[in-house]
Amino acid sequence: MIFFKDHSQSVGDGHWWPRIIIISVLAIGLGMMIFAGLVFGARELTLSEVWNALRGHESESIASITVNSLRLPRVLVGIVVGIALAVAGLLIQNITNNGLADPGILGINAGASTAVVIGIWAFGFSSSFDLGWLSIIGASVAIIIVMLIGFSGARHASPIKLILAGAAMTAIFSSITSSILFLADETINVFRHWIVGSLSSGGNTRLLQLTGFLPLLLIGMFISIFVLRGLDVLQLGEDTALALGVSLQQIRFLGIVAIVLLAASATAIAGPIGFLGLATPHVARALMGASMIWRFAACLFLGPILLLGADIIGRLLLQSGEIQVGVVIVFIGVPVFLSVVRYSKELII
Amino acid sequence: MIRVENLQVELSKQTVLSGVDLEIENAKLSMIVGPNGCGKSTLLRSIAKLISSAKGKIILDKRDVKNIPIKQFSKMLGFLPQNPRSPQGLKVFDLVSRGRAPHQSFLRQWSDSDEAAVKSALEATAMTGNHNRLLSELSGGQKQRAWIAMILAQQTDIILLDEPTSALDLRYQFEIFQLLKTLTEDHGKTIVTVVHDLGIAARFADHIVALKEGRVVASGASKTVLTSENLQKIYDWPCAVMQWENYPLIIPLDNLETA
Amino acid sequence: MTQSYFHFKFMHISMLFYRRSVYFGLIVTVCILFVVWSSLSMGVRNFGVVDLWNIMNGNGDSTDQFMLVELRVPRIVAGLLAGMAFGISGETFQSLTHNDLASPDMIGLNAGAALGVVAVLLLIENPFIPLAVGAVLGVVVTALVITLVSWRNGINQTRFVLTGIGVGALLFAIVQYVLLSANVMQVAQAYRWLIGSLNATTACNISALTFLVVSISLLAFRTQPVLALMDMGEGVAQNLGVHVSFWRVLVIGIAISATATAVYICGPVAFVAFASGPITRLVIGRGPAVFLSGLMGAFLLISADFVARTLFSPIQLPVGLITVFVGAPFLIFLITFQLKKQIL
Repeated sequence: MIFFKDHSQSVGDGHWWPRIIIISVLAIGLGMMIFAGLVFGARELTLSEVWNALRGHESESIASITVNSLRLPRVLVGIVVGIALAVAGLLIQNITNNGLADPGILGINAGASTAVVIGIWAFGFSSSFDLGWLSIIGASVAIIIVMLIGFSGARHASPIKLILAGAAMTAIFSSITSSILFLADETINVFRHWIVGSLSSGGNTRLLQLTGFLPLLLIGMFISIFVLRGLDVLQLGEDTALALGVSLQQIRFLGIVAIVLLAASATAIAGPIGFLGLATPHVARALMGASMIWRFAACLFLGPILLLGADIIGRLLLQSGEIQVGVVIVFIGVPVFLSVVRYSKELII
Repeated sequence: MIRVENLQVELSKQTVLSGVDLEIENAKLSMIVGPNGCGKSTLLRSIAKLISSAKGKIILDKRDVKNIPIKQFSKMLGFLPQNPRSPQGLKVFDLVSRGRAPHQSFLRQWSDSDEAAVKSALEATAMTGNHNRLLSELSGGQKQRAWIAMILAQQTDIILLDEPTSALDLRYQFEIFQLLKTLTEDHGKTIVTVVHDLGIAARFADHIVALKEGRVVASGASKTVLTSENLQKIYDWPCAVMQWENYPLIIPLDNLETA
Repeated sequence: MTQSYFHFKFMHISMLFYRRSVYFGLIVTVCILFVVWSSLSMGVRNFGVVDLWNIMNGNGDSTDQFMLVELRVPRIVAGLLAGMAFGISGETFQSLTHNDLASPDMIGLNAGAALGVVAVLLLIENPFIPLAVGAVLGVVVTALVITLVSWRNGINQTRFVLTGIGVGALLFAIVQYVLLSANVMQVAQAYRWLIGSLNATTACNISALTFLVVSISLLAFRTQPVLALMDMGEGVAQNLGVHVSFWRVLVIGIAISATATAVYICGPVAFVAFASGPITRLVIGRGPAVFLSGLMGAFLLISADFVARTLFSPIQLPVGLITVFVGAPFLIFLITFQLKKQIL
């Protein structure tokens, strides 16, 4: 069993003002990231050009088009997807009591991929909006199966069991995916562009998608805020939570609904982006301690900061073209994953 | 005789044993007691050569255990961890015969002496009738006896057991320790066990070693170790010690300081 | 008391064989022979027993001769070898980690093979280097990386598996990215190779591979009793005279070379390595059963290949496609029914 619970620190203790300061610092950091996302890129822009473009001056100039129709949508998508994935990661780690849980690790991305491939192959879908809906369906199926496996059996939901169930479902889904790709070569071209998660937009499609899936994201956020308090108590252990009158079933069910809504919509908008949901809650814990509410607040800023940062790195690394953010974020997330595996004292076997 | 000299163990940067010295006599039932996390199991595992980072000397028959090859060592000392893993589908006979591994090789997997050793180990633990049953079918007490039979089949002079009765009812606890007692008295085995239950220690131990925070606090016969002063020192809790027949009888008291 | 064993005695040699294992081995061997016979006789052309005999002895027309000796026989042999290697690697990993889900296809080795293939195909672009070489390098390097990253005062099984999953995800992301910049033909070729098939095995050096797989099998046979002791926990095993750190490295080495060999022959065919061990243990009732799992793997792979070759004949499907559709439901079955009992 792995316990990542911090019993020494009771929930919500300590002074609140250092945390307010941290949150303010994070907010400033996010502001800088947004700014950097607008300034940096293949075309170097000066600060005044960006400022003018944002204010709507010289709307025909190249700078204005670059900022308003390329970089601004990208930054907006990055903020929303970053928040959604970070919050989904926070909830999933808390509900499964598992510091290694992440929508990607638990098979959501593979499920979405399979649904997308089936859609391209069998129904000829190619618009990103259709693919978005398909990925929501696939992701929901995947996470429901993994949770059913994880919470069944004698010792339910042991972290290692969940991860292995996720890995197994990933293996199954990706086998099905590659079989279909083998049978129908022509699907490969659409698929391989979808499978690498990215924020870049051909025109404004991602932004349109964002508005399309916004209702789902908002519902997901509302539910997560609603269950936050209950999850906070759940950290003290199931027995304590029961004694405090928290309904475990209800909290868990709502939490999983929120995870599906957030993670699947994020995948629908930007394609599969793994490991952001894994890394962010750990950083949030390091900054904020055990309290779920404070970590949630930190995740709201940390998710976008990490995602936009990775996106900027991916754009700056190559002279021409870019490395998609889904790839860059893996290089940030996997080391976090491995260090949790390697250095966690609680990894008692 | 086992002699431990200045044994120091650090596990994941935390000192577990800091300079343990002790002697364990042959053909006696010795018990290691102490509060949780005081290093009892670590001490036992160090003697069994299972902790590679252990510093200091452990001397067995005048030889430093570090210089004894693993195969030879396995014929001198048997060790049973606290909750050993029972593989699926094994029968009692299969388990007990695995205790013969030190005496076998790949091309000599079974001989008459193996057969005899397994038989006598099963008899000593009263498991002969169960030899064809699956481990998973056995009760807790029977399973523990099967594991002890495996260690007996190993035919070592020294046997180390880490809390052999931790999950057992009173009756099974007594059966197991009576068995260990006869093994020392009638078969001349040297047995060292970690125990939690001071009642058991008082009743059966020839020699008690009390540990606290990685050091030996007291060592000797049960009457000299299990005194109320020592218990206060070891467990930080007041106890009264009375005499029942020839054994110390321990009664924990209300702690006046905290009350 | 040894009534559930066959006691084999010869001069100073004395060995015990679990009766059920022996029976199981015999039955699987018979099944293998049956599938081999079916694979030899059925396909684009069907041969009767007499025809087979004649052609094998060199008395047949040259087309038949070519089809049988040059195409079917090497393919069957390659299938047997690869299946054996898959079965051994899977069961070795599973018994070493006490975990049925920790087969090489789950812990990132297939992702390593994929990266190797993609690297050879797209980055080196040398048509003379076979894709299989890339795959083997990928498997070996990945295994070493996983071992090194998870090494901390020795290997801890859970840490090994989890590290494998993490490293696998990383490699998979790189593969996806590299494929993005390739042309469609190359991507299609890469995907096709990654499903795994025995269609192109005539190019393999069968005798060298046979030697390799036989050595691996003999080593696996030798490690069997040691693995049985290590199955009771490493402390117990060492106390019974097993040099645990030495054997663990050796066993991991065997498992890695078996995986690499199998991937070299037929690509990362999914689920054979994973399923062989659990099926074997389900039947004989106990583990570890490395050698028998090898036999089981050989049986599974050539049966799947027989189906792949004859189902839509003359179109030859890749064998990986068949194993996916049989293996995936088995995996779900195993997770839901087996894991309930096991304490993970």
